[in-house]
Amino acid sequence: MLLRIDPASSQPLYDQIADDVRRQASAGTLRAGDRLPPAREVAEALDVNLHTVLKAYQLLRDEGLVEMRRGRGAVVSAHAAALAALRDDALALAARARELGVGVEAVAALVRAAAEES
Amino acid sequence: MDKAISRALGAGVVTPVVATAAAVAVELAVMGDLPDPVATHWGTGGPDGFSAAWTVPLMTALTAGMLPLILGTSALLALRRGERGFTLRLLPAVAAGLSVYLGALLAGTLVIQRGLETAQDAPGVGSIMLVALPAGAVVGVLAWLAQPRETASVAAPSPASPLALQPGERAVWLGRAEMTPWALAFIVLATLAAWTGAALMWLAGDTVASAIITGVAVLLTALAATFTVAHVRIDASGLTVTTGVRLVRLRVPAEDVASVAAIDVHGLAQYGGYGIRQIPGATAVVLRPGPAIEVARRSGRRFVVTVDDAPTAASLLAAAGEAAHAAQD
Repeated sequence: MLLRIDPASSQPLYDQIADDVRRQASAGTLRAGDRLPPAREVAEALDVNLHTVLKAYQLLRDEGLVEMRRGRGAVVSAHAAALAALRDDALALAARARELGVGVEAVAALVRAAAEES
Repeated sequence: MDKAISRALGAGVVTPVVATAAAVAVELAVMGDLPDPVATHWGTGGPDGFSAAWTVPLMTALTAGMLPLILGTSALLALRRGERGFTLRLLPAVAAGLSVYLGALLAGTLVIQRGLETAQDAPGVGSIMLVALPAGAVVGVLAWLAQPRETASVAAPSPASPLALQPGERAVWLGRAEMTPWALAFIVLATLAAWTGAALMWLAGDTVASAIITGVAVLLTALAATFTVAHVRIDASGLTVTTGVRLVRLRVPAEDVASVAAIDVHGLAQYGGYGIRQIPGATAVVLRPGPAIEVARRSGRRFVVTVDDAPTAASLLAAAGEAAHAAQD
């Protein structure tokens, strides 16, 4: 599993780590049943605080993308398939937004607003 | 047919089939003249293991036939894919020599027991060894010489393009390499069997045997824990492979990475087996056939490790290598 973080970005580190997992679930490289690496190993390799990684895993668990299993650690849930199913829609929306010159942040805000309305 | 393939077919498939058929034919021919049971194992003081005569042709078919055939066909499959190399020339030669040696040995042990009242009187197997061992060695060497010396004709794998990273961005790729479930099940069962055997021996009160079998069980457990799973980590410092229990740790520092490629690896054909393998010019951690990354070191040596999602792993390691070289210049 590939994890990349940019300490210079304004996005919190734990959110960047969670985003990496979401992105790979939607791309299909992470599937239901795949194990996430132990948080301690990730923290050591990325040179970040252990709690940052645990917070990312916690966030993913609250979303239902990851299940915490005793003895097996963090495991990707069946919810990954839902993210993968949305990938084409997301690509299409991003392409359309680029065509119209609408920025990513604006598109994200529109999606958020649409979710709140319905 | 290509010369390398036809010669490998002769050495790795035809020779074991013919040698095994001949050995089994000899064994069946003398079957009527044998004591029952026959001696099948010899200690320093003469025969010390006995079995029914029919088990010998069966053992011959399995050890002189099946085992060499597996070696031979695995090499042939790789040759037909267009691969060439040292191991692929060696495997059919080993298959030919092994089948002749084992076939001659097993058939010989029955031939020397012809006409005996009881297998207790069976003579020693030294003379059989004196014939079987050189015969196997000669056939093996001939099979080696008969095959053409060809170096890999497959194009070198195309190097992975480095992953684009922002300045200051940190990236890590964490993966694992696992044996196939079948291989894993076999190893777990063998380990359990050894422990069961050890427990039974302790219960039976045979101290020497139980100590030996316990030792074997401990060794098998350590090997199983070491060679069934490996953790692979790629970050700015390079590539680290750690085995299941942290007994073995292999590293390729980023500065030492010349190029990286995602490849398909076949342990038996290319490295003569699975586990941590050393062959001339390369070190490989091959736990299953399939996707792997191949690192060319600056020294020219190659390091191969099986991983899932090899293209991603290769591109990150390529980026780490590039960054390390840039930092040095």
